[in-house]
Amino acid sequence: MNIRNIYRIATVLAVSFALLSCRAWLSVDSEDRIMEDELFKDTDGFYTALNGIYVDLVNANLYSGTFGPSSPDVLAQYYDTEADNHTFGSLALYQNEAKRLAVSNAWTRAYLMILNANKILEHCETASGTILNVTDYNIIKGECLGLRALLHFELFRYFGPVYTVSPGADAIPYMDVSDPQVMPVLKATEAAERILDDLDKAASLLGESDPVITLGKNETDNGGRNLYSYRNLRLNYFAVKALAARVNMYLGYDSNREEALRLAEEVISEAAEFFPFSTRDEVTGQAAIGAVTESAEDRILSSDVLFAVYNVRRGEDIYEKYFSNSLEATNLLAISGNGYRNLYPEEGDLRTYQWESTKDVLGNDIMSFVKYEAMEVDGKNYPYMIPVIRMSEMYLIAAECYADKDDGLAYARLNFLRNARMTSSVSTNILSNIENEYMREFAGEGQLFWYYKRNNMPSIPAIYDRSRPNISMSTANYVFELPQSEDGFRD
Amino acid sequence: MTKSNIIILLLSLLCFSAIAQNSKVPPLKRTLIGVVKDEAGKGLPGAVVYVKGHETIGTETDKYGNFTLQNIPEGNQTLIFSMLGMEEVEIAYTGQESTVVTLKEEAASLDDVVVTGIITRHRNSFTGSASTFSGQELKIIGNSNILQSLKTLEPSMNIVENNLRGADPNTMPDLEIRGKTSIVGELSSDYENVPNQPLFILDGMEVTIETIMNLNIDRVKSVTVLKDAASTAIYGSKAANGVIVVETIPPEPGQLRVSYSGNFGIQFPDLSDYNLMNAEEKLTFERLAGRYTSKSENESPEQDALDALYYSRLKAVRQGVDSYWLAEPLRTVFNHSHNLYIDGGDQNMQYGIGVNYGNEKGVMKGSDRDIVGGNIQVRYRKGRFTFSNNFNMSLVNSSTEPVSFSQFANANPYYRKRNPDGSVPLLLEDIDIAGQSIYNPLALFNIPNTNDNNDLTFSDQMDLTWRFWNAFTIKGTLGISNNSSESEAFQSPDHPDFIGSLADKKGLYSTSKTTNFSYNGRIVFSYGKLFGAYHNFSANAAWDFSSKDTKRTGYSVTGFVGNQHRNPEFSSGFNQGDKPEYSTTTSRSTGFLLSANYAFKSRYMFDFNYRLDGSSVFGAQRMFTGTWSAGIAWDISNEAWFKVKWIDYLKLRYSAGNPGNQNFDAYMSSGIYEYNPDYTNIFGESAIIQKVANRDLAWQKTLDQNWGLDFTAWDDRIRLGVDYYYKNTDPLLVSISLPPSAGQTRVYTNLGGQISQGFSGTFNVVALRTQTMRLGVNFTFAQNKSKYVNIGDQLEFMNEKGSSEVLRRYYDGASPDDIWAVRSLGIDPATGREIFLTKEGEYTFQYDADDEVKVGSTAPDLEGIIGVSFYWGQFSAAINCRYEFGGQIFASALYDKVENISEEELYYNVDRRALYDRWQKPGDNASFKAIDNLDSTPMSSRFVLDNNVFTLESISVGYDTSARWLQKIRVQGASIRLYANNIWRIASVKEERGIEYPFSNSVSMSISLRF
Repeated sequence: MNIRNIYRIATVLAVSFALLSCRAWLSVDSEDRIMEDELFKDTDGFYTALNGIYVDLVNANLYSGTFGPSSPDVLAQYYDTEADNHTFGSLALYQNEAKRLAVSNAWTRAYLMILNANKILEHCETASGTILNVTDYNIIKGECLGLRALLHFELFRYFGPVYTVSPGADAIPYMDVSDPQVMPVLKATEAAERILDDLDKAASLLGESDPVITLGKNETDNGGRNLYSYRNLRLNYFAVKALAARVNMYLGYDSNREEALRLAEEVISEAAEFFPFSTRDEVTGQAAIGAVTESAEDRILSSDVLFAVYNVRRGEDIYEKYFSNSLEATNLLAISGNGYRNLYPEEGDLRTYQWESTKDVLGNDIMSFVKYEAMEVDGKNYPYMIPVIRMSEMYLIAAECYADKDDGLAYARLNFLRNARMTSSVSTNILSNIENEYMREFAGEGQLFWYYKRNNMPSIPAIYDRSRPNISMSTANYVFELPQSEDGFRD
Repeated sequence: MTKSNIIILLLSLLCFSAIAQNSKVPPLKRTLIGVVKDEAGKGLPGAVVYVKGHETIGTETDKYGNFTLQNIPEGNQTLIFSMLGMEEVEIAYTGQESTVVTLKEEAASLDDVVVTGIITRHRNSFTGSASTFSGQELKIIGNSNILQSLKTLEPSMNIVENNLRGADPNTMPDLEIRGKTSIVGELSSDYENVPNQPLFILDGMEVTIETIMNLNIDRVKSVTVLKDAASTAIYGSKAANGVIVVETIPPEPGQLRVSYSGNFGIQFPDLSDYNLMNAEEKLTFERLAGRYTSKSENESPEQDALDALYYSRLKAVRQGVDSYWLAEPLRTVFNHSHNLYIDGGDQNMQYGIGVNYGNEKGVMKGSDRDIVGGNIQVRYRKGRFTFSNNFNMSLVNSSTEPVSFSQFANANPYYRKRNPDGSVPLLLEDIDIAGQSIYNPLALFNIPNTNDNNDLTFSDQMDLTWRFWNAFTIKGTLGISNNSSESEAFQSPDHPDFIGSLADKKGLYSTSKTTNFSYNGRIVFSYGKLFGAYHNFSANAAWDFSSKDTKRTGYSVTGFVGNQHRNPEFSSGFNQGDKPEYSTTTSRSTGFLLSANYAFKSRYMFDFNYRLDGSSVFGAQRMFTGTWSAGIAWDISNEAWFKVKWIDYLKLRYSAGNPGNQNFDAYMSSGIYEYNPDYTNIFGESAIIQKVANRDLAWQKTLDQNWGLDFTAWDDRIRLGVDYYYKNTDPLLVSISLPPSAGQTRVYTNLGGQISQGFSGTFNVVALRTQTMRLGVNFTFAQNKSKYVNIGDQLEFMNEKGSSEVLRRYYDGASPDDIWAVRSLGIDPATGREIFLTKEGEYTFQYDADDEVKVGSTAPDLEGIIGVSFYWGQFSAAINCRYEFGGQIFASALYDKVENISEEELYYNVDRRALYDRWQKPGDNASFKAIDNLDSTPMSSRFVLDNNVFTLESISVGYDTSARWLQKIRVQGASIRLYANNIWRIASVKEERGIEYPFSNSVSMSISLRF
C-alpha cells in the first residue's frame, strides 16, 4: 500500500505543479505588438502611444501628402498638371470624383489617429495622479487634445462649407469617444465650436506645464526619449495657440478675426524670441557646417516653424513621389520658369532656395520644387521636417486682421515678415500682397488653397504659368463630398 | 472550472478505485476456487467471474488472480470470465472445485473500436458520431492521397472545389466537416488556419494538412473522422471543425518481411468545361461588338486604320490561323510513387523500417512535387512496460508553373503563336490597353520565372505505456519535430514586368526561409474496470502540452543582367526602402482532459468529457477555456426483451456539448497596439492601435447536439448509420463594418445567432453473398443547412452596401448559403435590354437593388456517393459516383465572360456563348444582352443556375494472388489494382473550372508485393 500512496501523491503533485506553472509558460510575448492594458501601465507607455500618432502623421495620406505637399497645392494651382493623363489632372480641374478619391484615404487615416488620441485621453483620466504625474498628464492630455483638434480641422477645411457663406451646412463628425461608433455629421458651426473648445483646453493644460514657454524649442538631444526637448516637433503650447488663431481666421466672422488677431499677437509676443526667422547663413548651410553647401541648405526655413512632423524618409515619400525631375511627365509636379519668376520677383528671397532650375525627362526646362529633397546634416533636424504651422502665418494673420482698421500696423506686420525673408517692404495693396506672401511662404505646406477657400475667391491665378488666364472658382470647387466609404453608411 | 476542481476530480477518481476493491461474502456450498491468468501465465487481478443467467452471483480475482465463486445455483451452469481488454471466456460448471482460466488479449478489429488518437474506445460503448476506415478501404477508392479517398467514403466531409487552382499538386485542399463554421464577415488575419479546416492527428499527435497530404497511402492503417461534440471534446476548442485521426501501420512480430507497393498513374488535363471561341468566331464577335468601329461619326483616318486591322486579321483567319492556346502549357504526365517496408521481430521487440518516394507532376508544365520519406519504428515490450519510438523524415521539393493558365485562356485565337521563322514573338498586340500590352503567354513561358520550394521535416515520437497498478495504465508520449522550408523565386530581367525599369532594377530574386521547431507531450492515466457483470466503468485523465517556435527570414534583391547568374550575389542590391524580413513567433498550448464512460449491461452507455484548454494566443483575455460534452446511447438489440431475430444490432445515440470556441475568440475582446518598425523619430518607440478593445464582447457559444442510429440486419447484409445534428450558436460573433470616421472600419460584435442543421448517413446493402463472391451497393448522403436568427435589422447597412456586388445577405431566416439578387425575366427581344421583376411583381427595365429577393442557395439539397463493390475470389472491383443536386450557383463565367465583356476585355478571348447567345437584332430571343453593349450589368437571377452534378469519382479493379509461380520468385502474395479517377463529369451548368490551373483526370495502377 505504501508504494501506491507514493504514486498517488506524486501524481497529484505533478498535476498541480503543471497547472500552476503553465500560466507562466503560456505567457508568450509578441515582438511587434503589445496589449493595450500592458502599454498604458506606465508613463513610458503613454509616450509610446502618443509618439505613435506623431510618427503616423508623416503618413503619405496625412502630412506627407494630402494635408501637406500634394492635394491642397494642386488645388491651389501651384503646379502644371496639363499633361495628358496626369495623375492630378482631374483634381486640378476640381472634378468631383477626383476630389473624393484624393481625400478618401486621408479621411480614414486621420480618424484612426483621432481614435488613437481618444484612447490615450481615456487612459489619461484613469492614470491621472497614479501613473502620470501632473506635468506628464498636462503635456500628454494637452497634446492629444491639440492633435484631435488639428486633424479634425484639416478634415473640416476639406469637407466643411465656405464658412462665411453657409456656416449651417454639414461638415464632419467630431469624434471624441474612444469606442468606435457611428457619430452624426455635425453642422459646420458645431464642428468649429468643438475644434476651438479642444484647442482651448489643450492650451490651458499645456500652459501649465509645457517647457516651451520658458525654454523654447530646446533642441538638445538628451538621449532616450527626449521627453521635454525638441518641442517644435511636438504640438506645443505656442503651436496650439497659433492653430487656434488659424482656425479663427479660417472661420472669418468679425468676432473670429478679433480672436485670431489676439491669439496671433500673443504668439508673436510670447514666442518670437524662441522662434526667430531664419538668417541667410542658416538657409545656405553656412551656419550648420561652416560653408555654403547645397546639400546642407535649410530649405524649409525651419527656425520659425512652431510645429513640424518628422519624417526620416522625407525625400523618398515626398520629393521622389511628386517633385523629382526624373519622374514621368504624368506624375511630375513642377512649375515653369515664367511661373517661378512671377512667384519670386525678388532674387534675394530666401524661399527661392526651395526651387531649382532643371530639365524634366522629356528635356523641357522646368523649375523643380526641391524643398523636400533628401539630405543629411549632422545634428540638424530640418532635413526631416515637414512644417505644419509656423510664426510667419501669425504675422500674415495679424496683417490681414489689421488691414481694415490700422494700415500702419498691417504693413508693419507684413513687412516684418517680408524683410525677414530678405525681400523689400511694400506700402500699397495690402490684401493682394498678403495673398502673394501666402503663395511664396507656404509652397509645399498646403495653406494657400484654404486661404482661397476662406475668402471664397472667385478667381485664382495659375501659379505655374502666369501667362495663362486666371481660373474662375465657384463655391462648389471649394467643397468636398464625404468619401464613398463614409457616405455608404449615411443616408 | 478552476485548477482545484480538477485536482479534486482526479483525487475522487483515485479514491473510487480504492473503495471498489474488496467485497467479502460469507462462504457457502457449491463453491469454485480458481485462478485467472494471462497468456504469459501471470495471474490477472480484477477479472470478473459470474454465472451466466444469474448475473448477481459473481466475484472478481484478487491481486494474484485467485478467486472464489460461491453460491453457484443448482445444475449445470455456464461461468463467464471477463476483463477489460481481454476476450471473454465461457466455461461449463459441472460441480468441479477448481479451475484455471487463461484470458487472451483482445485483438480488436477496426470495426469494433473508435480510434480517437488519445484513447481507443469500444465502438459499442461509444455515444458519439465517428466513422473509421481502414487503409484498404481507402485504397479501393484511389491511390493518390488519403483525403481524396476519404472524401468518397465519408459523407459529412467535403473538399471544397478549388475553382481557381484546379488540380495544382501544390495547393492544399480546403476541407469541411459538416459545413462551414459560423462566422459572419471576414476573419482577422491573426487567425492563421483556414477557418473551416478540421484538426489532423497522426499517431496521436497534431500535424498539419501538408503532413497528411504527403503521407504515403500505403502506410495508413486507419483513418477515423470524429464529427460531433462528444467525440471531438477530447481535443477541446481546436476541434470545433471536427477531427481526422490517422494511424499508421505498426510493425508486426514474425520473421523478417519485406513489402513493396508502387503506384503509377497517368494524369491528363480536363478542358471539357472550357468553351472558348475559335479565331473566326472571335473576330466576328469583335466586329459585332464594335471593336472595329470608330467612335467618331464621320469617316476618319481612325476608321481606316481599324478597317485595315480587321481585314488583315480576317485574311489571316481565312489563311487558317486559329491558335489553340489552351493546350500549350499543358501536358499529360506520368506519376509514380513507391513504398518499401521491412518489419519483423519477436513478441518482445518489433521493428519496422520504411522508405518511400513519390513524384507528382502537375498537368501544367513546370509544376512539380517530389516527396521522399523515411521512417523507423521500434516497439519493445517487457512485463508491464511497452515502449515505442517512431522516427520520420520527409523531404518535399516543389516548383510552380511560370505563367498562369488564365493567360493562355485569355489569348485571342487569331494571333499567331509563332513567327513564320519559328521564333516566338513577345508581343501579341502592340497597343496599350490601359497602359498594358498583350504579351504572348508562350513567350512568357520561356522566360525564367521560377518559384521553388523545399521542405525538410524530421520528427520523432516516443511512447511509454506502463500498466502500473491493477486497472490503471499510464501512457506518456513525447514528440519533437523540426521543419525547415525554404523558397526561392527568380524572375528574369527579360520579363516584361521590367520593361522601362532602370538596368539596376531589372530582375527579381526573393527567398524566404521558415523554420518551425515544435515539441509536444501527453500523459494519460487510464482506468478501466468491470464491476460485477453489469457495470463497466472507465475513466481517463490526460494532460498535454505543445509548443511551436516559428522563425521566418527573407529578402528580395533586384538588378540582374541575365539568366545565367540567378545567385543573389549577382544582383545589384535591395530595392530602395526594402529591408530584410524577420519574424519569430512562439505559440503554446496546454490542456487537461477528464473523460469518463459507464455502461450498464452493455445496454445503456454514458459518456462525459471535460477539457480545459489553455493557449498562448496573443492578446487573450482569458487563457483557459472549458469545453464539455455528454452522451448517452441505448443498445436496443442487447435488451433481454428484444427478440427480433433478423436485426443484429440496433443502437440509438444522443450527444450534446459545446464544441469549443475557436482560437479567435480568445483575443477578440482585447485591445492591441502595434509598434511601428518603418518610421522612427527622436522620441523613442511608437505604437498605434491595431485593434480596439471591446470589453463587452461575449464569447460565441455553440450547443451542438447529435442524434444517431446504427443498425445492421440479416447477418450484416444491411448496414445503416445515420446522424442528425443541430448546432445552435448564440450569440454569434460578427465582424461588422463601420464608417471610417469611427476610427476602425471593422469591429467585432455579438449579434443574433445561427442555427445549422443537417444529416448524413451511410447505407450498405449486400445484394449477393456466397463463399467466394460478394456484391454490395453503397449509398451515402448528406445535407447541411444553416440560417440566421435574431439578427433583426442591425446588419441592414451591410445588406445595402453589398447589393449588386455581393450575394450574401443578413436577415432573420436567411442562410449564409443563400444567393440574393433581383429577379430577371431575361432579355427583351425587341430592345435587347434586360427586364426585371420588382418585388411587387411588376415588369421594369430599371435595376433597383431594393427589388432583390432570395433566388437560390449554394447548399445542395442532397449530396453523396452511390457506389457498387464486387468481389469474386481474388478479383475485386468498385465504382463510386458523386451526386449533388438541389443547389444553385452564381455562374461567374456567364457573368464575366459572356455578359460583362468590357471594352478592355474585348482584347481577350471569351466564352463562345458571347457570340451565339447574345442579342443582336430586334426579334432575337437571346439569353444575354446586346452584343455591342459594353456596359456593366448588375448581378441578377439570370446568372443563378441550378447546379446538379454527377461525377464518376472512382472506378477501380483489383486482383489479389498468392499463386504458386509467385512463390517460386519468393513473392508470398501480390495484388494489383487499376483506377480511373474523375474521368467523367456531367453538370447542369457549363462553367469554366480551374481558372489559374486546370482540373485533371487520372488513370492509375497500384502494385503491392509481399516477400
